[in-house]
Amino acid sequence: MPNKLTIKICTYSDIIFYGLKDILEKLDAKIEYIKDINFFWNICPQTTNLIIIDSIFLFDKSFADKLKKSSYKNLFCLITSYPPMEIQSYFVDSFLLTDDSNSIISKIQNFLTSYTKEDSSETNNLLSEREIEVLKLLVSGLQNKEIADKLNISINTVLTHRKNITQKTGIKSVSGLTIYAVLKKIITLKDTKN
Amino acid sequence: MKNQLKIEKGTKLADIINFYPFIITQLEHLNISLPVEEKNISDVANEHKISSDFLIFLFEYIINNQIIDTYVPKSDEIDIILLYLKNNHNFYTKYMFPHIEKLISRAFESSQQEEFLLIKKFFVEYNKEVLEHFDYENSIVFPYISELYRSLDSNIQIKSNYSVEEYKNHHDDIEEKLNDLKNLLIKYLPSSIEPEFRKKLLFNLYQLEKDLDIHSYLEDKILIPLVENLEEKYKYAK
Repeated sequence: MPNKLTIKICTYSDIIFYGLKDILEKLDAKIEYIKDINFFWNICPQTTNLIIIDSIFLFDKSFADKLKKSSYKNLFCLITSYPPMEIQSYFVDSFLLTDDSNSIISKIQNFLTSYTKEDSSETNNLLSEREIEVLKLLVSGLQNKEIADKLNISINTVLTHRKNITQKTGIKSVSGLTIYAVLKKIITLKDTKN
Repeated sequence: MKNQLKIEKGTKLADIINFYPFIITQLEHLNISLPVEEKNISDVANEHKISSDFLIFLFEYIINNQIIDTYVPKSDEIDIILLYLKNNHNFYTKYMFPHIEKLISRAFESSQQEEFLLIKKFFVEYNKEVLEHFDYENSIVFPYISELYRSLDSNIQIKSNYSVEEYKNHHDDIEEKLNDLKNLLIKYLPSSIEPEFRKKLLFNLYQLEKDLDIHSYLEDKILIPLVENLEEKYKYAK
């Protein structure tokens, strides 16, 4: 996570952006303006604390669908026009144009405190990055040799990683590890349906 | 040190059951049913035409976690051992596994959580593996052992080319998956899963694990050496 708070505001409107930016001055954050929705997917969610999206963008169906699938957990909606769908599943929270500065600030602050907590509990502190890589390939059905080839390491190294994964988690079988990976959000439930 | 029960020929069944109630399942596998009145191990052994030594050996392992090194099974105990194992298989197939699957299904019905589908799939696969193993034993290994034993008595030639060496290799570690499931339940399945379900499932898995442990022990340490012995005698007799 970045040291300085980063907030990105996605809107067509200068009035909205500069108005929001002014209100959010108190938070001492780096505030960026995303005017072109095509650049939205270049945003790195891991380095952005909060993304505020103008509801007008939701009228672009392909954008809306992609947004829903993205499972970003740091999205707020600024409702400028009544959105064409139920937005609860897309956004953590929302603002109205009639909201006052104080309620906007407190909504954001509340989110930021709970978001950092949730973020660290979802972080897998148990397995190393390399072990997670091996785990992902293993539960996708690859054999040890294929994993070794894919990661450019020796089979012995793969076996060592597997041994460590089993020792740390207490789980040995591939099907057991698949469940572990889903529960720890290393892979999604959809990934298992192949 | 955990309390241990003194198990001898004169020990009453009622005392054994009071000390370790879960032994009742094992008694069922031996076709020994309640009530037991004042019967001791000797009485029950005579009644069921099995040796007290075998009963003592079994109870020591299950109740006191002790292995009696001096126990040497006799050939005529093969029948009771096979009976125990067959009843064991039936118990799992007809009762334990369907019971656990039902628990998992019911939990999913009431909570609609997708994690249960995964667990169910996992358990169904595990179930299939174990049943294949049992089926293999019931249809190939046990008949072979019976035939071998009877052929020594009557000097009949054995039809099959089977040997116990094949059985040894086939004895895979089916305990691995069971252990994985337990760890998932204890360590990782989220707290949003109904606690009552988790608890019931865990207790059932612990019983299953204990049963399977006894099962494997009997097969590895008693049955297989006994059969190897018989095979030697058979070769010698020919």
